[in-house]
Amino acid sequence: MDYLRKRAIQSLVTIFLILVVNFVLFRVIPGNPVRILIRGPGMTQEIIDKYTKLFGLNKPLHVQFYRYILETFQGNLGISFSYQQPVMGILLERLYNTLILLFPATLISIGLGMLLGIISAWKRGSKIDYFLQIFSLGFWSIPTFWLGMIFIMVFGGYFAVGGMSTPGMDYPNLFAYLKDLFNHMFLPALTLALIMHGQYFMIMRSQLIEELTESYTQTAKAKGLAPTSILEKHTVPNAMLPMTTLISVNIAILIAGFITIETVFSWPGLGTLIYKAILQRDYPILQGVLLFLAVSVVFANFAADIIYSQIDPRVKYE
Amino acid sequence: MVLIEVFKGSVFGKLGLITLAFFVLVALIGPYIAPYDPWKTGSSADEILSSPTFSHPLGTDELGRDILSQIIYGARISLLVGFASASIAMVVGTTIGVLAGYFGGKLDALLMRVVDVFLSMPFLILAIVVVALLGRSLTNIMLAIGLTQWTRTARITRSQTLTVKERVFVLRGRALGATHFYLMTRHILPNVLPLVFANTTLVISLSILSEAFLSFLGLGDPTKFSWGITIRYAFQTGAASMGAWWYFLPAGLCIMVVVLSFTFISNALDEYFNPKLRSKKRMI
Repeated sequence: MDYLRKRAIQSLVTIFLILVVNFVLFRVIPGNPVRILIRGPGMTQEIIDKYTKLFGLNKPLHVQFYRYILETFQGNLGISFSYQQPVMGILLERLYNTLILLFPATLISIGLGMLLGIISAWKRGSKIDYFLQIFSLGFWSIPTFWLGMIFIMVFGGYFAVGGMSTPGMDYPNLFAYLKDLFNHMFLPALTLALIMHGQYFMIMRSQLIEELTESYTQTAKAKGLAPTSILEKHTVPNAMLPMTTLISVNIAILIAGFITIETVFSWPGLGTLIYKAILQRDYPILQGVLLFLAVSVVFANFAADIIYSQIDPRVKYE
Repeated sequence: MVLIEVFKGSVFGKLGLITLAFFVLVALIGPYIAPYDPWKTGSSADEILSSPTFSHPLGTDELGRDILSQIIYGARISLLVGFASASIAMVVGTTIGVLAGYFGGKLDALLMRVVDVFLSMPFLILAIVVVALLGRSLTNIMLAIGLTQWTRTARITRSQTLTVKERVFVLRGRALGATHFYLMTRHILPNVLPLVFANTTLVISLSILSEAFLSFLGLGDPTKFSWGITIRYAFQTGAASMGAWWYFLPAGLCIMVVVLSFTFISNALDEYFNPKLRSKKRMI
């Protein structure tokens, strides 16, 4: 319980500090925010004053900060410059598309990473082990967007390479829709899965080797258990424990991956939203998505730690 | 020579070192060996997006600029950003790690809290915002990457410091009246640095990948060529769907080979200085 409470307080402090960073960043941009918002000639002092007052930018900083926190908790992330709509609405709509892509990609990458990791650890020192290590490290070392571009060039004739669905297509039934979605999703999801599996592979491999040299594994071997059942019943479950915390380690690759891969395949998710926001200097969108992703990461870490402490009692005594 | 010892037993470590030496050499003498000025546009229609020819070994881009020259000039920027960002991360991380581990108590708790906050920040998003807001200069890119990569170094340094500061020679030094500064710089630091270096080589890998990532999103320094920037131009031109492989394949391959080299070197260092890893986990 103590551990849980400690981690909860830590997470809250982190979220608060993220809010502070977010607030400060927006206020160190060179230039006046009102001028950036209303890009156009003929700006009179009168108009600037009006908007400065409207946005509360004439108030002292601590009042602005208080207002910022209040509005954020009410779900108001500001208005997008380019869409002229609330950031929150745009974000939620795009989030759904991103999750559709990320969910299968993550599952495949975890499965692939674990499977190859187990094979590699079991056959460590062999040619297969070396090959698998090069394979995983190789994909880890590639920029995601570059692999995506290669896939477009090589497989572009077999799969759709832009967007989520065929424009103007009328679906007779759900099955036809899913088929079209799969056709569009295959290449970006495959790219992401291949790039991301490396981390899972490396952790699985090194953890499993650690477990394989533990005395309980030797005991199981001495008792005459079959190698596959030692793996299945004894070592793999133990080696999987740190995989839960890997969510946090892997999140950077995940984020870099989906932002660029969505851009390459014009997938209408958060990634393309960020890409366009950079091009159009749509700061409220950037700020809103940063905040959203940062808070999600904190929650993911918190959840991973709690799960870890539940399934591995040793953690509490540290 | 410790370094010779380190790489003696590691084939992949040696491979990484040799490959890296080649790229560093190319970066250093780049302007002398590049066949063209990378900004020089083509003079005839044949030179626009041409596939590799005798005069342009890696072809040209949509403005007729030589790709090979872009790659050679790009090596300078990509490696520079990698080394500079990793150095920033190393200095900040080591300082904070040693201070936290050495003094312990409230300072330790505070500094580790800061580390936790940075760790839970999706640093690439943070880097995007920082560069987008503060301007797309090389300095900003290096700072944005460096200041978000120091957390791992800080953690490693701290835990090393915790063990080193209890060792007899440190206790003896303290008993003889050595100052905190002396103990930290003369006793703790030398014992912590090997692992920090192993980690820093890995940070260089991540920094090079991060630079490519930022450049691809249009946040690279527009006055320079880097491998990421060449890939971005290729993407904007639609090179992938046109089948213009020479435009983007070489730059990505360079990133992959260099990142792999640093990873191999890091593994070799790690294995040497971290005996627990030796034989047991044995990575390539």
